[in-house]
Amino acid sequence: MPKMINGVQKSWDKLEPDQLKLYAKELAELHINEQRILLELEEKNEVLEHRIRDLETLLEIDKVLVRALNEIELARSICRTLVDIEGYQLAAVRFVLTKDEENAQPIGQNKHEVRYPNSDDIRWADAQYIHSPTTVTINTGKPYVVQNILIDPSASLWSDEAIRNGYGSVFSIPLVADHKTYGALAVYALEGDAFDNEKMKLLTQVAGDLSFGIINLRSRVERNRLEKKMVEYEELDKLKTNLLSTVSHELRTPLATIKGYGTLLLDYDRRLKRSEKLEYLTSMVSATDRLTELVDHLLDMSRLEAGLLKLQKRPSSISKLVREAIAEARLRAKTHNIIWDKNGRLPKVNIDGRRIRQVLDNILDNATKYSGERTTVIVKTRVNKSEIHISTSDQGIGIPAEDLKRVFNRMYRVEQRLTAGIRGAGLGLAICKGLVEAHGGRIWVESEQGKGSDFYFTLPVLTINQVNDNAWKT
Amino acid sequence: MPGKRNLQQVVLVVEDEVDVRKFASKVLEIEGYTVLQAGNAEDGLDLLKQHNVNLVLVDLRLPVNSGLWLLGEIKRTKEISSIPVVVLTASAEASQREKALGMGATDYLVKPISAAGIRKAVARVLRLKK
Repeated sequence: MPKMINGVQKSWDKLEPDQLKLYAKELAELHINEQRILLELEEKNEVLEHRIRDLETLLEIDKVLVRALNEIELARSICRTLVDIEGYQLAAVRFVLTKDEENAQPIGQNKHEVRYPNSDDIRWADAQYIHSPTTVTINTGKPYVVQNILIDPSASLWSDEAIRNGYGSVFSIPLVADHKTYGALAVYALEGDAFDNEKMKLLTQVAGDLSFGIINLRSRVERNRLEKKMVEYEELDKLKTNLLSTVSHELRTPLATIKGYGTLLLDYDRRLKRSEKLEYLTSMVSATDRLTELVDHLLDMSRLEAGLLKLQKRPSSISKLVREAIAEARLRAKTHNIIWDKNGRLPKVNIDGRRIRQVLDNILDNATKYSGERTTVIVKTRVNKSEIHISTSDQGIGIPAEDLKRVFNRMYRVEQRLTAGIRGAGLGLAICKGLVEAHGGRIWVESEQGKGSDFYFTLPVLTINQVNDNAWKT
Repeated sequence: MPGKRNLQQVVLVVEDEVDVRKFASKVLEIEGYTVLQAGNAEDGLDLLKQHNVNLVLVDLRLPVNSGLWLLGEIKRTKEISSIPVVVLTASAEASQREKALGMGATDYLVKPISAAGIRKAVARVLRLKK
């Protein structure tokens, strides 16, 4: 094969020994050069492969960012991507824990099941994680890298566990929002020196993406919360408007009776019979009672709401209260059949008797008000170890299922079609609820439309100690 | 007799509050009007169809159908649409007032009201009608 040496083409056989030596040397150099280029190419190729892998990682994370519905899922997917594509041994996210935060568990993904059998999640609450690279990152707010866990003295607080797991190096990156570190992403590799500048740049970008995704999700959650609050406020506003117009209506109606009959009596005194005058005056007195009751109810309601209602509790006989309430209800609703279903002796309870009587009167009044004449109302009293149960059961119009939850809301009244002609400001049951709860009891209703309603309330029974305590005090 | 001249005039009072209905009716009767009474909007409409009524005094908050419903029915029914309707209500809200007047109510009275208030309003509306 002809070869050019020093610009002259020569055949192998015509070469002088010196020239041959020179030629061999040149050949050897050429070979070395070739090797070097090959090596360089290989290196470049490897770098390219890394780049491609990094791009794959970023692309996958982009997809995850779009798809994730909550931050746990997002963090888990990103960790999985880092392990699957980048080949790290463990990738884990840890959030700064605040008292009211639910994310008490960190999210992590590790490569082999050998060390964490049957689990994708690493429990950061475990003692061994109190000291960890993420702790360092969260405390300093800065990225933290240990290229050789085995020998780096800064790793000594947490390195035992890491060495046992076979980790060689670790890189931990803060998750930041509003200049505050709220968590960290930590990536562990089996080999030492696994994190060169390029890798650290990539992982920092991944942490940035994760952070962006989490903030996005959190703001979405916050927006949903605010939207829900808005709806609540709107409902409250409607209720308030309702309250104003109901109060106005309930105040003006008895006033209309008083002013009407009053001016009628003044203007037409001589045109009215004595019996008519007496009737008007009686109605005027009833109207003032109605007004007084409404004003008392409004005051009770605002005291209850402000927590200003003072109970004058003393050990009292519930039997006596029930007996008296039933006797008076019988006088008010003469055509109703009111029965007391009493089972055994009732113990004394520590209550404000006047207030519990108010509750009894109210639910008894409701029972007769919303049921037809000549129907039966059963008052039932029962006692167990800790509570007295008192209930009224009527055969009235009942309460539609959709209203059951709201009957104890102030100013809430069941649809007018059903309660037509029955007076009420919708305060009674709200006050009952407030009074029963102020006594440490519960109140609820069971009802079926058209069949009747059962109202229940409980009062805590006095323990022997409490009885003695009170006796000693008085 | 203060109101003898009013005898041929018929006023329908639609009000579910018994005391208010009695009071308004009594004032108008003493003033010489013939008074018809109804406790709800449906009965009121029936009375309107059966009698020659010159004026309707109606409450807004009534059981089942409201006073506004009755007002609408009156204005919709050719034979009775020209009867003046005076609203008597415990609702002092401007929006309600505008709604009622917009639907064709001639006057809007807010409770509580005096005997003179009823007397004057009814007389004014009937005078205007003439």
